[in-house]
Amino acid sequence: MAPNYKETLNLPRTDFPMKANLASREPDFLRVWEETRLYEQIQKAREGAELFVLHDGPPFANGDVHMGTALNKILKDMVVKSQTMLGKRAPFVPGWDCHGLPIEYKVVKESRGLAPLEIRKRCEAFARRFIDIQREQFKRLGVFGDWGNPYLTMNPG
Amino acid sequence: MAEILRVIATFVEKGLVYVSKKPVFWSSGAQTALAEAEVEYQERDDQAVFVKFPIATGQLAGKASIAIWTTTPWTLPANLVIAVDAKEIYVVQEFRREGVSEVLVLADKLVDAFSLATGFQPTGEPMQTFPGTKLEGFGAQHPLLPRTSMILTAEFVTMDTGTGAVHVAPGHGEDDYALGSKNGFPIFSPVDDHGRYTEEVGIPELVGKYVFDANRDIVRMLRDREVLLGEQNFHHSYPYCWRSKTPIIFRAVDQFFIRIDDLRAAALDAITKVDWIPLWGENRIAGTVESRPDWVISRQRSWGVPLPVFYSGSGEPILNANWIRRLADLVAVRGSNVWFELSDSELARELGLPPGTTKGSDTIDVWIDSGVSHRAVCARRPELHDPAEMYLEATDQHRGWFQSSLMTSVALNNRAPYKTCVTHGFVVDLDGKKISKSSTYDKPVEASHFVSKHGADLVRLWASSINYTDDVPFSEEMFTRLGDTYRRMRNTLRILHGNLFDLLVSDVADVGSRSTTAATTLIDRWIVDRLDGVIGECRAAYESFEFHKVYHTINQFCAVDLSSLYIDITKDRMYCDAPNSPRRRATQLAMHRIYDALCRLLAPVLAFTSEEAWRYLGGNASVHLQLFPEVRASQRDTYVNTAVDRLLKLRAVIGQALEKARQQKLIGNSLEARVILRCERKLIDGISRDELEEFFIVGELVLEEANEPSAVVERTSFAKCARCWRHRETVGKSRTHPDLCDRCEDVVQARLSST
Repeated sequence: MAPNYKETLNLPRTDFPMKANLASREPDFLRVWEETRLYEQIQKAREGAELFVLHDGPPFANGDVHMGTALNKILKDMVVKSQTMLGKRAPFVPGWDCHGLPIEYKVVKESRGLAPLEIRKRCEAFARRFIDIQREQFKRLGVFGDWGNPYLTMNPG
Repeated sequence: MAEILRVIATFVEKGLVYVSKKPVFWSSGAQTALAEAEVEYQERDDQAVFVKFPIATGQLAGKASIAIWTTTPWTLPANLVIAVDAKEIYVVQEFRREGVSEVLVLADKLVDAFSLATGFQPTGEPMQTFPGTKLEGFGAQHPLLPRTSMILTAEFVTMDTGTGAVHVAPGHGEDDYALGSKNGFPIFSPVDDHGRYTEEVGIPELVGKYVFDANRDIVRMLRDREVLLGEQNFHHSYPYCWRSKTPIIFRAVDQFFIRIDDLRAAALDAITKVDWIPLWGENRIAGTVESRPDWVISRQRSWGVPLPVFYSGSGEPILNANWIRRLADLVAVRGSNVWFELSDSELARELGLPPGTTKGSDTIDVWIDSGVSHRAVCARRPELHDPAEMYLEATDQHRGWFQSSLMTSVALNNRAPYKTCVTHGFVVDLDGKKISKSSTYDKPVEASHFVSKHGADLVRLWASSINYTDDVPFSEEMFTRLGDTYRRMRNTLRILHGNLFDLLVSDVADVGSRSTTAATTLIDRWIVDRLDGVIGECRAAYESFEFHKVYHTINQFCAVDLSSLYIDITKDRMYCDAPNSPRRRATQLAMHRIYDALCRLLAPVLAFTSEEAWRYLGGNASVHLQLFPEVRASQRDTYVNTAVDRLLKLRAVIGQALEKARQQKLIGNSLEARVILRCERKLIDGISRDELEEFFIVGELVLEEANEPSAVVERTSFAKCARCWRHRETVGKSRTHPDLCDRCEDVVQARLSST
């Protein structure tokens, strides 16, 4: 019988899976990035390096992230990530535009005749709800930034 | 919000803010003034009317009527002026229709169009002709109200439509306002917040009526009074409120403005100092800045930063920078609700204002909120700075955020708030239709739909694959193609990694920064040089924000250079050489370098997959903490490039001959082939036959000199090695392993003696 030479070959060996299963496995990476505070690590690693500020144009805190908004945020993220890997310090502070007619219109349409202060309270709750929703959707796209401390146009300071 | 108020204080201090009654885009549906950006255009049908105003004073008094045309009959009660062009020729002409005779004044050029539209036929020659300037100062009887309107000349009169005599209501239009206020007419606008006539209108039956519903009442009144010369359906594009979808009206109200004329020249200058990507952005924003009117910053809404206007006891508006700053300090601590929570007297006491001072109820245009973020965010957060290196938004922001930010920054700092301004197109479906969540678009547009179906990395790959400066095509089907590209990249990484399993960290460390070892063969030198090229191209593309070039470069590198050539050609040595054979190790080092570089270069695009691949290299730190690889060689290796280019041409010649031989069933695969390659010797100078056989992946190569390259394929007479499956001369020569070639025998022998 011919000897089994196959065992003597250096055939490729890897655990790197052929199938990506991105949709189900990406959240694991997000968890690790969050747990290891990767954004903060990156900022610390580039301390003192040349600064590259991409200032986020704030989307309205209204509705789900659609493909147009996703394209915008991903392009920004590709700029920030690549500038970082080119050696610069590229912080990203995401923002939200909170005031304005789109939100007030929805609140007022739901219940007419409210006093201004009550309208404002409901608008703020509405805005905060959608900031949370959009924040999770942006993070899910792999966009890095100071998500815990974004800028909101309704912040008092 | 406090910072937004402080910015307003600075504007007040610089004298940029003023209050004026002025016609604004008014949404009767949302009861607020609208910014230009909040207006959208829709097609609609309106009733256009020709109306006569009997001339009451001047030379033609009692003898003729001036004919006007309007598409907004509801503004007729607010008519105060009729405008004519100074130089165009006007005629006094008798017209007849069904026994009715009218002597009318209108522009000579529009007589025919008027006849066609109304049925009034000119009878005889004009009684008089003169330039419009002769009409200036004449009074004309208002068709509905007991007053006269004045005829004035104006530059905005055109000879495109109508009669050349333009109905002017200074409270209901931009041009109307300019002409009226220049000549001292009141800015008369008898319409309330809901778009209903007020008592001021002077016609009792119209009071309380929504103006667009009143159009037909007005037409009826005009007909009853026999001043209606004609009516026609008029199809046009008309501004609508983007939220309430109601047609907007021009309506004069007390509003607060930022004087743009004081900023315009400096803003235009600042524009020239910014890098615009794409370049046409510069003209686009310059055009918007040139033409934009003063900025209405007041909104009659509740959800916003309060407009810090106070009123004196006698009701005069007060803009006071110090008071506004005191308010800002209060808001910084208690939030802006304090403006609404405190009564007038409480707020006056809190801010130390004179007793009797009251507060306004307007809020600030949200375009100010976001438009001062360069001050409120970039200048104030320690990790940022102002001006920012980059703003990056969709193309509609030339008239939106790019412009609002530019104006406020010019007012505060006399420069733009950004050094580079990048725009991307809209996401459109394959028909070029903009996808949007607010229209009747019926396909999924939410990012989460595609993320949960294909993964974020595929959405990111899509974003990288397109030239975003144009409109960005998007469809479900595109993911099929992107999926193929993704799998190709992933498989390339996987195969490379599979070949690294027995490479020791020390081997990688040993080679250090040198890109080659003594055993490096031509094909390794070539791929390492190609990698240098890819690194250089990708770095340059990232530096100029051209991600689609990264996508195409890496895709090409994986598909052609790696999968079709390098990985294929080096398969034999990788699988069959002794594990530590120098040339196998040299190839492993090249593969390691490629794998490492691809992980880094792909990281900004495939944020997840690159991290996954990177972990297989064994480090702990994330790929996103790394730097891009550097181009190692200061110059491209021209020798290997020329040499490999020549070999690739010969490979194509051989490939054709092999294909033919396979079709003729002469051989099964190329390893069974004996190839007689005829070519100029210098094409393959200095490359061993062994290396050439490997490069061409053939069993046996015979070289013959010829001017034109050609190849003939025969079946090799050599036996097949049982281990590497190559047909080699040495198979059968060994006593111990007659089924092996010499290379494989050595490998097997070495394994036996080591165990």
